Amino acid sequence: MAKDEQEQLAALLLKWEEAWDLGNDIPVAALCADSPELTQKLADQIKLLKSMNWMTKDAADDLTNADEVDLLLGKTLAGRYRIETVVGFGGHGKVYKAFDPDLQRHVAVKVSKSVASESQSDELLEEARRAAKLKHPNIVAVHDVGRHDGQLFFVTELVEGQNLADLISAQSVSAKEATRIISSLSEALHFAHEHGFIHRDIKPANILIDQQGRVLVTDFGIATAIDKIEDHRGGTPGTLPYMAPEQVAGEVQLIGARTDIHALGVVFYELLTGELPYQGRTPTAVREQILLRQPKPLPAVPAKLGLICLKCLAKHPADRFETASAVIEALNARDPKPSYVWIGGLILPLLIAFGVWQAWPKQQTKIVEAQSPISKNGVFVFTGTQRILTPLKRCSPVTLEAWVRPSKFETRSHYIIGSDVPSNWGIGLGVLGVHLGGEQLKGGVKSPQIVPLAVWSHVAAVFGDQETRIYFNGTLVMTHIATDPAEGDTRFVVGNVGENNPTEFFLGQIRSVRISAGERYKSDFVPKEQFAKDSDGSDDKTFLIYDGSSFDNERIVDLSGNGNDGIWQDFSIAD
Amino acid sequence: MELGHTQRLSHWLGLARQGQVDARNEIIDHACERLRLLTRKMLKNFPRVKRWSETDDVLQNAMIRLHRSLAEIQPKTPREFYGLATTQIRRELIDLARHHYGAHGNGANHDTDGGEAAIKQPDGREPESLESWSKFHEAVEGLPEDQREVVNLLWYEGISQPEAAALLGISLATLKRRWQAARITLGKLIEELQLG
Repeated sequence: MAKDEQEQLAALLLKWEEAWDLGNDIPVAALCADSPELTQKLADQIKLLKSMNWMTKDAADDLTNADEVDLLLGKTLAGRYRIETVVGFGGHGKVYKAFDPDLQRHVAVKVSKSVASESQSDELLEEARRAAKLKHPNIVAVHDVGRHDGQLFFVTELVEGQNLADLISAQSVSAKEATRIISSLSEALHFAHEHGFIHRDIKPANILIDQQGRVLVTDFGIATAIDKIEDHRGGTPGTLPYMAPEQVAGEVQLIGARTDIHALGVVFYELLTGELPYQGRTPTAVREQILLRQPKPLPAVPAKLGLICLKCLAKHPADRFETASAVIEALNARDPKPSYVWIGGLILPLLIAFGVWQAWPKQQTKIVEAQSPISKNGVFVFTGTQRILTPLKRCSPVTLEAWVRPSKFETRSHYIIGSDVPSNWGIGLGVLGVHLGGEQLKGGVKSPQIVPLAVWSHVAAVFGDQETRIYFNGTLVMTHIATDPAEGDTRFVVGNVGENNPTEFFLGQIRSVRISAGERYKSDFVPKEQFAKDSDGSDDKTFLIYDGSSFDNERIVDLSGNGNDGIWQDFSIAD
Repeated sequence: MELGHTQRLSHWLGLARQGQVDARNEIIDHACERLRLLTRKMLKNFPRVKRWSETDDVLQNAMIRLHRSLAEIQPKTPREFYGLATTQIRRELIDLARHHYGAHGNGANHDTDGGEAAIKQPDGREPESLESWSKFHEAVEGLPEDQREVVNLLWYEGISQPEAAALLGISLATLKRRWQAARITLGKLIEELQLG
């Protein structure tokens, strides 16, 4: 193809694609009006580009179907509502601004993404119609519901303003304003709960603030109805970070008004701190946090508000406020002292949360002076830039074990004991994501056992000749095919793998470490609180024992008497 | 992908070069997250291999390797980082695809989902088999460098067109032309794969 022809084609293709991106498919004949000889080539290339349109969608958005209902723009629904523009997206569908000529006003129309069967939609429409009867100043009024090509749509008042999600992302909210918003939300929730409605999907995107500052909850009866079409895991709809433990766990029988109160707590937390109480890179990580972890306390907010928020976030529904009006009462109470009725539910989560907070690692970015281990009350504290280098050559069969109290997990691997070969597979014991496991030659070993945060656990990996076994608190949680024989070409390290390159580090506390030759454990056992040399009476096979109370400056004393002292290294100094 | 990622990456690279561990991890975690998303995309039409329990370990191993290989490198610019990271990501994706369609893979005898996949895809023809996916990634490897770099940034890394153009120091129009040329080449390849 001649060069200028190529140039011409490329220019025409660009023109075509710019229009295509805006929803216009310019006919090839029109594009080639001035150069008809290019028609065939251009048509072929456009066909290829269309076939590759999937590459223009980011993998991160792959699960959305944003384009499917664009066909509605300009259409009239139910012979009445003329769709004008898209004003929002939700997990369940799109929200449009539409004009209602009968009443000469603009309305919002939410159209479900899924198509419901006739019988299914009759039932759901009935439910939504019931919800439409909820009239409250803090609830977005539902005017009408209907069906268009099998998709359900809901017509509501159009609130001019912004949703709370946009507000939170744009600015920080004062504690006073947060209290006002939560109070209004609680009013709305209380009213709806009294009338037998549970929202089940309270989140900032469903909370609108109009131009006068009025707080309105949207989607009552709608979120639930649409979710039923989509058959959300046994009737537990919701948006993950705002879901209550009982929703995450699918304990449908526990879902009730207090499920909404938990979501209220999440929104309150977000308003007060700008952060979600439960965060993780993957849905699995978030689920685990909702189920297992207490949120961080809120040190920078008025104590009363922090306590109210955490009570809303109690793991068990019975420990939360009984009603939304009780939240309002607590917010309005002059006396900051919590009442004895709910103090019981507060103390334990607070204590646990305080423990987590104490152990929370401060990401170390400054050069520190101390060369001695960070040790508190006889335990080593690992914040991400430290490790202990042992003189012990890597070997197998071998047993690695430790008492650990992790403070934080991320999606990566967290090595408790590993091999000093960051770019290769080693022999190691650690936590992969949140699962107890490790690595061997050649591959990762991941057990189903989740390691809890902020409590002491005994973890062990036995790399035997026939198989690898992982033990949690003395119980076998996984067997795996055996490692390839390990060569002594590197050393064992504690706290992370990687020389000057601590990228797979453990965050939290390690009290004791023991490395033994051979297979120390062959069946379940009761782990000893303190490691001792061959305390189980077996053959002399302990290689080394480190304990957080035994070190001399940067030297970690080997308590086994074998002289395998380790060296504490802090990379924030080394770099 | 939010705007400003490249600026943040550049900032992190600066910090990482000063030895700051959390900055280095931010960079690596981003690459791992892309690998996870692309794996999910690649496996979404293969119910037999999609089940998390089956893919997890393999993905986990891929993430560990990616994490480590990236921890080894010391890129000086975001452009260099993306080049290295994407090559690694692609390598892992090819391995993952091969793992699943290989003789013992769960997708070994996979035939397409009875046309179901095509119905679900109004956006044209994604590779239908894992073997095709593998070939797709290899074909990207074989693109002319200027086109490959654009595919790396837009598709593998998910960064926006204006950001990618700025990163490469080219005009937006040039970027769009390279992006089109790359998709046309890859489109032909997929067409051949699916006809053959």
